[in-house]
Amino acid sequence: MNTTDNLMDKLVERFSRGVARRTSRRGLFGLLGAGVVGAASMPLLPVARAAGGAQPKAADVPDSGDDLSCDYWRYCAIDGFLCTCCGGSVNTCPPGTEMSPITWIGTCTNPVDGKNYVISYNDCCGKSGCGNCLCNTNQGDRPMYNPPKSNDINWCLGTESTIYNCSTAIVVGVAVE
Amino acid sequence: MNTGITMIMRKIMQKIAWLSLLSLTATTAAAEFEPEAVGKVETLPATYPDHWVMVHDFSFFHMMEGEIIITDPLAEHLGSQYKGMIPASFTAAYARSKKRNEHYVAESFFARGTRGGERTDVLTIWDPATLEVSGEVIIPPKRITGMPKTTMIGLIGDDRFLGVYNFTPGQSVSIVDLEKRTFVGEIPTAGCAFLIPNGKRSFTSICSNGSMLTSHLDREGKLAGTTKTPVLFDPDNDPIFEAPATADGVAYFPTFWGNVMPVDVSGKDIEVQGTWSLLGDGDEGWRPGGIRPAVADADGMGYFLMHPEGGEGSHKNPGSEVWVYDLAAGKRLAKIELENWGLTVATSGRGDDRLMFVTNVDMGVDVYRLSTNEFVHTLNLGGTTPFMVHGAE
Repeated sequence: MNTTDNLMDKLVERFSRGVARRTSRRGLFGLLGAGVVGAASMPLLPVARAAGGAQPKAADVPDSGDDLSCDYWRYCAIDGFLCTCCGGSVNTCPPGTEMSPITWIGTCTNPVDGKNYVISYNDCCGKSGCGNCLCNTNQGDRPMYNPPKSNDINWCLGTESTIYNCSTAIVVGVAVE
Repeated sequence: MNTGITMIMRKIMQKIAWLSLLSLTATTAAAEFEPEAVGKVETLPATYPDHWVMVHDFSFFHMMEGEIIITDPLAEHLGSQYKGMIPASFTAAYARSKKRNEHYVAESFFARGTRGGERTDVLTIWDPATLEVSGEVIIPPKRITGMPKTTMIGLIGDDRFLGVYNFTPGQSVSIVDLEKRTFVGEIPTAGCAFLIPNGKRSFTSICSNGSMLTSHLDREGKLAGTTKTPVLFDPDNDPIFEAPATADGVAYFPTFWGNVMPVDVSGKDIEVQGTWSLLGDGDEGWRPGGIRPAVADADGMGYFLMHPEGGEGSHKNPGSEVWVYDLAAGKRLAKIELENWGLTVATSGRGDDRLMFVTNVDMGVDVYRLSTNEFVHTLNLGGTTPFMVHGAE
């Protein structure tokens, strides 16, 4: 992490113009390092159904942090425009869009209880790209020939429209150690 | 009194004379004036100079408005750099056949535009001189959308056919007959992605388990058979990037950790050659990375975009240097320290006129002259996200 931060420190000065202005510091790599249309990094499980399985109630999950920031704990593996900046929330799509039923997932550590939670980064689809709060980390990301592990793919699939709008970060379970 | 009237009359007459003269002059000028023609449209040369490039502005924040900008990268000003453009809708894929002298754009349109509606995928064929559509072939609305890779589209069989990679997430390749301008059919590539043309009339896909699948076409572009290799690389611990640097019939795939896996694609069945490393003594921590980290030039040299302090998750980081290799020998020839950190590398031109292009992190395109490895200038063509530059390939 320090290594990455050092590199970022060296680079961030250069990332000051044009489209880079629209992104947060960490989100710069989302555009400049990947510019990904889609969901998440660090997948530990393959393609999943958003509504599948027993999802913990939001109230069950202790929370802290700013969900408009790429540093928010649920976004440890997100890749795309944050729905929280686009009219939705961490687990809902903006009005009038459609949530993709397929995606890939990551595991993030909740700083409050120290537990690892399984996060499903379902995309919201059917309206053109929101363009706000682009975030991306590539930890665990693999090339597009390995689809369940790739964040370069537009995951608006299985929806009425394949047009990508933003990405959610839904807690779908507690990771089993 | 009479004298006064005479003076006034004289002045009036003088004015009338001047006005008459002016009027005569104006009439004469009008008769000689040739108005500029209305309705003229520029054209480009039918054959572009070798050093010209096609800059793909991905328009990441407005994906329906992508464009391919025909560019003279050595011209000094925008007005002479920007030669014309081709629209490229919704994370399009671009290819060019020098043999057929055509541009190809695989793109998607939605009946209700930015709010969707019925999707139509099209291979649009563009005339290079007029930049007008010279044909289009409707293909299944299945082509992959996402970040651009050069292996999403490919020319097969001496440019007779063109393939487009599909992902729904079912995997296949759509084949278009460029001579007849018809859709031939869809070839399943289950478990395998992309297309790297090989041999006389085949293409190879990269499989998720680290093997490769080669599909052989018949004379009509239909599937005649397949060949699958054993596992060639470790897709989890040291995966190859999606697109190689290809020279002299060999596709050189860089890996996340800085190795190079050469694959002979000259024959019907591919053949993997010995892996070698980009790294030498003192290069610890350097890794290839970016949106397009590797390319070859027309003379067979290879260019790899490298970043320091690499590790897990750094494979899309921008690079601060481009390392140049004699690909056939696996030998490094130079390290080019970049003017700006970059995400995409490309080349154009031949011999002493070879150029290198790096899309920098400010989304300008930096031009380098490879005869001296010197930075020339930055192209700012008006697009927002020029993720890919197409030149020598």
